[in-house]
Amino acid sequence: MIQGDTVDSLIRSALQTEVRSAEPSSAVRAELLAAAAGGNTLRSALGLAIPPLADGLQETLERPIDFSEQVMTVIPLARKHLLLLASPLYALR
Amino acid sequence: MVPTPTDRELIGRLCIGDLAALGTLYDRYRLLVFHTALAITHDRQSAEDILQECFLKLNAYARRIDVSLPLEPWLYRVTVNQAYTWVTRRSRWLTSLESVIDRLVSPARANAEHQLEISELQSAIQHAIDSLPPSQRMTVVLYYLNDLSLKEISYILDCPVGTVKSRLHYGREQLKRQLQTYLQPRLDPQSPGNRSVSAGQKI
Repeated sequence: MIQGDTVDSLIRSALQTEVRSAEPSSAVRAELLAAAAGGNTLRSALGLAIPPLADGLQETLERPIDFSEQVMTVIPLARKHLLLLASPLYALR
Repeated sequence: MVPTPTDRELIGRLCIGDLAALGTLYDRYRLLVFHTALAITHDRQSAEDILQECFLKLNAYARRIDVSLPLEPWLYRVTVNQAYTWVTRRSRWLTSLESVIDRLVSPARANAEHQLEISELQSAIQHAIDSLPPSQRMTVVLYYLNDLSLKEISYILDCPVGTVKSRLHYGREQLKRQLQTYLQPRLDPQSPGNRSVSAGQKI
């Protein structure tokens, strides 16, 4: 039977060993600065202080379900998704 | 001696388009982002893409960052977001195949047998981590690689501390089960795989 401490140290050691000496290529820095200088980034006033989590990463079922809240959010969510779907189609035309 | 600029000063300079500040922030935090992305994806190219994307977002959203708070949680969140997208899109078998090829072509070392065992164990742990659900995988990496506290992880993943504890508990239990399967034949001399070795040692 493996002890909990052993599992902890194995996981920690494996993760740290994997990345310890890994360095990103120097090209990444150069490309980053070139992209930033070229204005490839979208400067948006709508940006958030801290970005929201990616869809799906949040496990909503871990929290108690509030059905009244769900009913209230159905319509805005549906509209948002419709808008998101509509924009790429628009671009194709 | 020129004092080292604080993150706050650098973000302020970034807001007025000073790209040297972006370079300094990159130099300061590149390993934090790169190592986290690499531990989650096990794919160097993807980790570099995530790294670049993370700092492009920093440049894009510099004006909206709350400079009264530390920058690390912001960077961690962008990194896990990007990595999560990668994990859910990438087919797992391809990653495994690439990692096997990487190991096959890596240069031989002096103690080849010992290295092979370490590599096998490393591979077993990576495979076990890969098999975790994404939210548990992110939690395990942030906890074990980055040594973040439960509270810090709860802030980064935007969930209660209890949820972090639960993800960590179930993730660790699953890893323990998988490692048990891998290690048991090596630890237990009575197991079928080790009987001949034990007999040989007695002789």
